[in-house]
Amino acid sequence: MKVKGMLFLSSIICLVLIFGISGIAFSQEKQIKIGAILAFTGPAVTTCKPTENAFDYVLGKAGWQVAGKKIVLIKEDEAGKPVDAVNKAKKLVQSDKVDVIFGPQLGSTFDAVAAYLKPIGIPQIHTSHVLESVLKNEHVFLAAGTNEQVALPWGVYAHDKLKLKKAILIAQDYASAKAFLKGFADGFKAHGGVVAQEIAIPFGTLDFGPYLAKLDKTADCIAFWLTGGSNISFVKQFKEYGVKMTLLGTPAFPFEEGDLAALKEHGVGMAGFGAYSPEIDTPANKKFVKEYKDKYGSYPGFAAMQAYSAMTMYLEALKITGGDPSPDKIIPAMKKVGKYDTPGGVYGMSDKRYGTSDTYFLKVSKVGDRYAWKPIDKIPMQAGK
Amino acid sequence: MAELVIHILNGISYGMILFLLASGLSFIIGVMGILNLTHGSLYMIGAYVGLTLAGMGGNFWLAALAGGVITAVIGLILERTFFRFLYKQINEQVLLTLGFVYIFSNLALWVWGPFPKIASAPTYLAHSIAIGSFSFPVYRFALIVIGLIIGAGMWWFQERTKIGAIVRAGMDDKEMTMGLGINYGIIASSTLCLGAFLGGLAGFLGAPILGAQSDMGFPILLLTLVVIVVGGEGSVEGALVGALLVGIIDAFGRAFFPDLAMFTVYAILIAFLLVKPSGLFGRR
Repeated sequence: MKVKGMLFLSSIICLVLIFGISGIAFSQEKQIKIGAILAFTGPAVTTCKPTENAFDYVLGKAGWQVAGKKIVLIKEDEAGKPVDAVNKAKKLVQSDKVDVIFGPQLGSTFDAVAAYLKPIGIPQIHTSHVLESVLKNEHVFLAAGTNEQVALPWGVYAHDKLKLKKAILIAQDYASAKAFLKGFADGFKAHGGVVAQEIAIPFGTLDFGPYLAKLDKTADCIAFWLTGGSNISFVKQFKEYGVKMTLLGTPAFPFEEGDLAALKEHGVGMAGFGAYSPEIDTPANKKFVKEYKDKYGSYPGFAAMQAYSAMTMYLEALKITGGDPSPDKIIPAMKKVGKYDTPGGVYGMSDKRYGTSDTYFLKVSKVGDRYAWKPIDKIPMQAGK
Repeated sequence: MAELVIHILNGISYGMILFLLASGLSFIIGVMGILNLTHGSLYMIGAYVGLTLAGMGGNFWLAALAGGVITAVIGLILERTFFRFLYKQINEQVLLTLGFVYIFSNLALWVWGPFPKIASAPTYLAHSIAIGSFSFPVYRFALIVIGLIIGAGMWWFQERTKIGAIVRAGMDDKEMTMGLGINYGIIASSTLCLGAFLGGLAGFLGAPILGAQSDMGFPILLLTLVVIVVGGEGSVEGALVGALLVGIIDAFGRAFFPDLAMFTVYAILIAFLLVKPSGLFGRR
């Protein structure tokens, strides 16, 4: 009796294990696992929360499912270090078995993870724009375009519409920043503008006095790309040193609304370019801004809209594949997504794996009790090279 | 000529922030023998505390003092709970204080958020004056004056008071000083408080120029260490001359050799380590 009882118990355990494991396997097949390597710490930390919020917003609106499959989002910290980011990517791929990786958010960490994912083939999506060269990896998609492509029409606009003729370029001394201003300079020079000076700023620079005293005074504008605390220190000191040139920034990663809040009146009047502003006056955007603010307690900025766009693009591609996230299906599908709607306007994903959108000429203004980038003029969507 | 004056003034004003930081850390190293790599983090905390109080409508100078005092209290807690157990254990000191850099950096991120912040100078100092065809912010002049006043006060304290004499004696021969019946523990704790206070004060006084962000502690710490190497540890004159030298060379390097901006200051460090490792005014 005792032996029979043990046999019975063993059988039950075996049955539970067999059906349990197959049940898990079955439920995993019904899941789409999204890995996101975000900048919870490190130099791109300001982009993390808006990106998290936008992912939550888009996936929440989709009911955390697409084409009948449940979506699971697994987040990791890139820490601003390529080695850490690759280790997180390995964990996402090998342990969590994710179907796609969003990020990491810095150009350097994204590059490192792209090299790791290349032989594996899992799609990797950057929510913002980075160097064009990363597109050599066939699994990489840049939802907001490349630095060079995005900034090129802004150079054209600065020359043709703002009537600026001689520019100084100030960028932090790293590839992404320089590529961005190269795009601006290409557009500016192609239409007759002249670049008077190019200044590379070491990372971590907060005292710009020495640079401001050396500016070529015959120039009429400064286009700059500075991140971290360098951006607000530069703008404040620019005014304190009495420089009389048009300052052209961007509300992208280097200049979100949180930075403007820190600058207060010192930032008012600064001009810039960007693909999004919460002040875009359309019903869809007003609805989005209200819902976002009610849910997350802040205004959506550029990083939030880029993340919104990137996740929307991926979900659109999943609809094309009927929810099949395997690389051989989803990568061709993402190339076919084409144009899709966001609260910020129409975005597009080209078959060359970079995104496009309308952009805006903006100026920093006081709006109620906050400081925001106000759209002044729309620059129509343009394809890259 | 005007441009040259602007560069010198830029260097001196930035040098004064470095002086406040370096003079405190220099004494901590000299008196206590503690290589406190957390000093940059104390600078960051002073900046954030001052910004918070000033943002609540507080007086600028009181906010600066409060930033210094709160940082001093944190310094005292660190000394009583950790540092006093690590005298003469350089490896442990480096590991522990480096660990605190990361802890404080993440705490700041958690408390004050990811976006950098910047202070506004008092209204009466928030304008610029013309020097030739250039403008120069008045607040930077104020910073130079404050740095010189604090430097003079510290020199008087060290050279002209009894406690200053004990500090100097302790830096030269700690055991002999203790053998004379002096409670050196109190001197060491007070030194760390004073050093932390100066670090916190520098944080907020520098905030109208350099702002505040969670990872600001480490880059400024490196420059502070360069100043101490150049000036020599445990010396007010050394910290002042070292800070001015580093500030001015850094300003000229950035202006005239921007591609070598990362290199110029560290070239001085290497030169001093090779030629005069005790620094210009070092006690050892």
